[in-house]
Amino acid sequence: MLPWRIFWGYTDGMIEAQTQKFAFDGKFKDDCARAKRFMEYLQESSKRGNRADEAQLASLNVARMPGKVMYSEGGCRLLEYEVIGRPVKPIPVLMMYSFINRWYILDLQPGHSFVEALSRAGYQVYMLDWGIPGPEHATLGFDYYLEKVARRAVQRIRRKHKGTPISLFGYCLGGTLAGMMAGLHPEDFASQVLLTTPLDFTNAGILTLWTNKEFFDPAKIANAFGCIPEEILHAPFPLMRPQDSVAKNRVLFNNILNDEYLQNFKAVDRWATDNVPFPGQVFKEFIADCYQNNSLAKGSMRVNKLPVDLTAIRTPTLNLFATHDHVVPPNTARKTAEILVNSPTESHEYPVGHLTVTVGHPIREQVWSDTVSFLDRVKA
Amino acid sequence: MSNPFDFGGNLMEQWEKNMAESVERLTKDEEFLRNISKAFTASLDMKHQLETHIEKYLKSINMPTKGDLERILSYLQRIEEKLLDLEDHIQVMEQRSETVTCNKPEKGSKPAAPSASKAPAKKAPAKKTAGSAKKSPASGKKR
Repeated sequence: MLPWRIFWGYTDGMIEAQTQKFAFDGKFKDDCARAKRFMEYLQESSKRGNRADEAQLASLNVARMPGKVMYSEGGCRLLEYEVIGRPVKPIPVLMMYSFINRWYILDLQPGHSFVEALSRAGYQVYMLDWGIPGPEHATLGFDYYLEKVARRAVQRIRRKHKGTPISLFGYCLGGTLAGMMAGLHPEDFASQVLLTTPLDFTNAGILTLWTNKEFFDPAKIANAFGCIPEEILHAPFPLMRPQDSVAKNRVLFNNILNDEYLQNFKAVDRWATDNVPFPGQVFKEFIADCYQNNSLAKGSMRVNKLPVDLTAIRTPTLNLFATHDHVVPPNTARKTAEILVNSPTESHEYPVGHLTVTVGHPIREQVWSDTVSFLDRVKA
Repeated sequence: MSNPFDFGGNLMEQWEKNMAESVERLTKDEEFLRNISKAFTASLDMKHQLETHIEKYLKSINMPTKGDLERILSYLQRIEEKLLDLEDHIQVMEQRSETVTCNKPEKGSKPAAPSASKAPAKKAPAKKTAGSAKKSPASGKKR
């Protein structure tokens, strides 16, 4: 008999009898209920598949902010959200997410959504969704994703808002992309919000070691696969902080009777396992230019033959980072203020980890509030 | 009698601690990373060899290869890009012509004051999109 069958087969009466027979303490009954729910969760999660579709997101109450697709290009989409708060603020916000995983971590659930928080504050929010890259995107690099897709999105938003420069928001690698965009076309932007973003990649945590030129060749991997499959890309992530990965199920077990915790866990876990391939050419350029040669911080990076000049950014920047971040260590994030020499940079450090800063209560509310307060001070 | 779940929990915690320490030691060991990299590179070489053979075989029986499909998809991608470029040009031209129309003085009226030229242009007609027909959460997968 499989172990979880024990808990399914047990009725409350049987558990009560066992408790009395072996004189277990009162916590035993709760633990049995936890075990039963935990096994149900494991069974449910094993059925959900590798990638979330709209129906699954709806069932988890994920990505529910009302909006529409403004236009799409290739696999990418520009999402335009409704503005909830009044009055509507004059400077729109374009959110850029990373190529790793999917954008909806920023619109996780009603009440737990960064997009919603900005929208409630009266900001017109747009989101650049990079989509799910296919084989046809393998040879497309930053030239395409930044200079074609992101640039078109920026221009269309600006046209819609009578030419107003926009505020750019980037999370993780999305922040690096936002920094690159601002360095390429500073005139398009009124401000930048960088959430756990690396711009200087010297000693940027364990990823710097793993991508060492001596034993890591991004070109060879990209040439072999085209787009880097999500299974390959995400295999090393749990090893970045192994204690968290192995403790995940125990922590879930301990909290599984808390409905709110479970609902939030399900949404975050769905996002964490909803992986997408990484465009091969972008992978080559990103690892070589950022992690291996640090060209972005040095000012020698070029996209579409144009220099990515971070010193050209003169508009205000908000730099948000986390003390216990293992993906973008605080030392790396702190350097942003030194690199953006001509941009008045405001930094906020939060005593949490990489993901908690975005989705963990009550820090996320503080992050939203700091972001809104910064954006309110930005002038067009 | 103590709760068996507590016993299991303690055992689990100890296992987690030992496991995490071992994994952390390994993932920071350059020698280990070098060896893993060598093994991975060898598997990539094998994959490349296999794919070359498959491609040769497909060509010999006049079947399209993965590369052929990628070329077609890239071609479609470039066409889409050009269409979007055209759409952008049309939007810009429409906005310009609307601005000119707004600023044109009516027959018999005095020439417009300089400040009138600052009148905001009308919005370009909204483009119909799949999601624009009805309000819906901006989610959903593309592929």
